[in-house]
Amino acid sequence: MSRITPITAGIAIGILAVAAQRLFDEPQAYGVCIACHSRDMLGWIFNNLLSINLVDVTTAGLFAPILTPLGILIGAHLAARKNNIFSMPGQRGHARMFLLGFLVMVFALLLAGCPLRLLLRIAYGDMLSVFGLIWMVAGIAFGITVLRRWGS
Amino acid sequence: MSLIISAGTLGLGIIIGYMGQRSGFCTIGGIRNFILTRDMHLLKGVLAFFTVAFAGFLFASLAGYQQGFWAFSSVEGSETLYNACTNPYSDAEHNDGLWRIVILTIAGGFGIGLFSVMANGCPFRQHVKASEGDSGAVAYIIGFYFAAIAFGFLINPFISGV
Repeated sequence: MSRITPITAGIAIGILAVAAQRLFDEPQAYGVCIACHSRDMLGWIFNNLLSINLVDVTTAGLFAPILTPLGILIGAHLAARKNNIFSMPGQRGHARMFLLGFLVMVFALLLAGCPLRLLLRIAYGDMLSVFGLIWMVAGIAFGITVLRRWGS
Repeated sequence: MSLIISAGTLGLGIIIGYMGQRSGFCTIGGIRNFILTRDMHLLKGVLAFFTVAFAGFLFASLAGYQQGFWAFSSVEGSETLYNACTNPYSDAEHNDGLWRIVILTIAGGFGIGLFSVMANGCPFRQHVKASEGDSGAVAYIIGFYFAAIAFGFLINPFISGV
């Protein structure tokens, strides 16, 4: 199994997202969400290590850490190692990427989900998320304009 | 039960991480490439994800595994779906306004689109790239995780008045 098409990956993630919903009662449409699951994972770890209520987590992540982001890191790393494409080239612009990561998480938490959960919520029948998607596409179009004008 | 949640989500993550690395699946990238060059390669994956998720929820609700699928086209359903995921900043006194949710949804959607395209990929793609050894993506997810922890005391005070 060398390359997988994005369609196959999309189908698999869709099936798993619906199946994973069986793990949680609340929140609904929560099978896959990078932002919320990261928040729940880190929130659980911090709250339990420090014995304080620093990060508020959802009811699903209250009693057990949700480990999806860690799993993605492990799974993608295995795939990269297996196919010999793991490399650590020297790069610049780390402060910029740190800031962008920070901003994306902040806006994802305002939206109550990363792009994947946004689509999952629409698939679940949530019409409000359609507004979120329309404005996300607008944001992407604006971002393309910004990159074109001022470079990356 | 808690072990099932941890093991289940870890297994889910490993599978989708592996497939994400092999396919280059990216929601933001799919929409961006379509806007730029009408390239459907990644967008097809996003559409497949949405279609399968929709069919899956439909099947689950018809089979009785899932309660209230169709109820979620109502306003109350949207509010429940939003508030259940945002416990920290939607406690009793802030749990009231539909307009608040609409404003935050619009702001959040626009911000995610803008900053994700500047970072060259959605959060899922950044996790995959970080695992491939991309140090820029590692810096991204460190910022991402930092914001997850800092959100409650750094950002929440500013938006609780909205």
